[in-house]
Amino acid sequence: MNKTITKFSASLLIYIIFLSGCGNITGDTQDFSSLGKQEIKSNLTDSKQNNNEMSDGVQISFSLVDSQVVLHQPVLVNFIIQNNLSEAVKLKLGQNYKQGFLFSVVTPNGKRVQLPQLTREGTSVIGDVLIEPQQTYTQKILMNEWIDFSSVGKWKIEGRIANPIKTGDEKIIKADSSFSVTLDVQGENTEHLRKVSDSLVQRINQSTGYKERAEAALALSYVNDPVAVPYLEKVLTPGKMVEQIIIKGLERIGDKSSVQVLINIISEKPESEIASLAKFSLSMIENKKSSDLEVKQMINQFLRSKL
Amino acid sequence: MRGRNSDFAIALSFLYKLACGWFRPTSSQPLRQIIRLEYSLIPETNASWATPKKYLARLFYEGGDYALKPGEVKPGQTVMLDFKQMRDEQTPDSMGSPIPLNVERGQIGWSMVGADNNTMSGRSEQVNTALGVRSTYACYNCCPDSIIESHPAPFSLSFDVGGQNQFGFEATVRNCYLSRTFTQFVGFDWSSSNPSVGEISNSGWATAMDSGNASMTGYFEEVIWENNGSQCVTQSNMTTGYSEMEVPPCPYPTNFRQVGQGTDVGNGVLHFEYTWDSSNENRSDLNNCTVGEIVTYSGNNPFIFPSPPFPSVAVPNPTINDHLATEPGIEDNHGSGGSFVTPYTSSSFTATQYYRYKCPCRNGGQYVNLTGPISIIRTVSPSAGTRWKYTITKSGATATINPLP
Repeated sequence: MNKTITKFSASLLIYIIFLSGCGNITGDTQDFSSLGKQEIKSNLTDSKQNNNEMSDGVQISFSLVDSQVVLHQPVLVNFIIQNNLSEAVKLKLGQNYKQGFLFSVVTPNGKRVQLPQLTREGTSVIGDVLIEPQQTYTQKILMNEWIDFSSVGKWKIEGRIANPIKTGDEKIIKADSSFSVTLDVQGENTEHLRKVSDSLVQRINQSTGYKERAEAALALSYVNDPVAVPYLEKVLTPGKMVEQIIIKGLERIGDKSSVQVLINIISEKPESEIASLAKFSLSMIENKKSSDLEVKQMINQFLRSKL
Repeated sequence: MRGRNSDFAIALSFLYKLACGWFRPTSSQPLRQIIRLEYSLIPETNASWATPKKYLARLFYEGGDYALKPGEVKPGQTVMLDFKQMRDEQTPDSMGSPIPLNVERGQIGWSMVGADNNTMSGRSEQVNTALGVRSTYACYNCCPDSIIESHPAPFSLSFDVGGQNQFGFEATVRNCYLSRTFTQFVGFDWSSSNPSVGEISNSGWATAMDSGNASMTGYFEEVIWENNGSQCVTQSNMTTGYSEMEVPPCPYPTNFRQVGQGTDVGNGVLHFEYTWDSSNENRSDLNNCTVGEIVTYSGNNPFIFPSPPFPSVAVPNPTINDHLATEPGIEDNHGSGGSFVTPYTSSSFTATQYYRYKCPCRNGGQYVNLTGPISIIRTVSPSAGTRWKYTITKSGATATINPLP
């Protein structure tokens, strides 16, 4: 626990934007539709390869939604638990249903990287999952929250759940949830990223519930490329309730066009909460070592003019 | 001359103390050019003429009409209405509809509102900027317009808690040539049968207060003008309008509460858990709402912890987090921010926290506080001997690091 808490503290500076990304429980296996796979050949990993058949009837699987993506495209993993038992089972997935995953990657150049658990300060959803008999729990995991797949080539993603699955009377169900999948990150493809972004904007606009909107917005916010900026800007309307997520996406991109959108937010409603978030993001971009000098000057000039 | 295709300008001038009439462009006078209405008043020796006058202006085109809300013109004032500009900029009329972009011709009508007769005239002015040719034309009007056949508009309206809308009347405006158009009016003395559901101002501006139904009642005075052969005579008719207002159910998070005590989970982290209910007792109906927090610090944005002795970290000020309200609960972890910085000195700062929710159907989609203000106090102070300790307190619970490394 202490180890976890230390990571809480360390994450304060970074201020990871949240997503209440809980999963779904259904009586049937979900149909996973992949994002923007019109041009990139979808090569769904056979989830059975990564299934771990439980002797006591609980199946856990991880599979890539798209095993082939282009650079800066969101990488999604389907996480499924099928409870074939005659009693309910439970699992603690931790903060925002994300803390309870342990992932590591092997980069295209062969370097193994253990990814830290996602922990955060402040409020988060508790993340307790209860799966009734014969029910299936499904969750989409946005891997970009753990790591930026910033280079082209084959990435190996490995992982497991951190906590055991238990029955109602706290009996631990033996389970090996470990998995390994291969992700093929291809070179830049602006047109494809546009299609992915557009598809996510449509999902945001068409969804009637906050959960789906926030999930799509989070994925869009991880299209870490200036091509996404106009799409991020499109969904920056108060009724969507995803402004915080979008602003963090603009901060991650941190180029001239995204900075201009952040400046516009502040200029239009200088006293609003969203303007405060935008101002914080500008400060983060300004203080980021990797930021372009011209961008830093642009921010500095704007922020000083507001003093 | 304004506009991109300003070959022609067709204007109507309203000259005080003259009668008004219709301007009827021929089919060879395309509307695609600028069309302006000019209203000018010539001061009259009779002081009663010096009061502002209401006017109506509208455009009839094939397949529809475009009616502006009543405007006002003061003595000596010229009012110009540029219908082409309204079309190009898609300015909505009193019914909320713009002139279709493909409309290129039509008929402009104008009139004065009220009992005064023979007080205005209309003048059209056509200008061909390409040829430098201008012509004007004025026409007289007969009796003022009659306002008849009124009914409440809208008959019924559904909008969310916190939303606002206008109730009013729609009426036929009939001029002395018996041409007719519809225009909106606000009516007067509006009242609500159920103010706890919907409040309404005298002028019909309604605010949704809570889910349910309310009947809105308002009044409108119809006016009929007729020429008896030598002069205009008028009579009025008071009508009563009834409109229905519906505020759909809008479940929202309520009964927000702390679960158990705040606990020191180690390493200076103070942990809390909270839950809430749905106002309609069905949590899944909160699927469009969020529950979260706003934490503010006394200082700049970003707020930088006073360092030393606190860790040198920057946090958004305010810090805002929102979560799906269908969730059974949230946890809240207040940490120290990282590694403390020497030399240690006595220092303290306070953050102010509110828990709150947001539902699009409530409070106009703005946040509503659930509880707060709550103080979160972080302190570095002397401990035993020469050592120092860190303490964080909130809602009567404390977490410490004692001694600090």
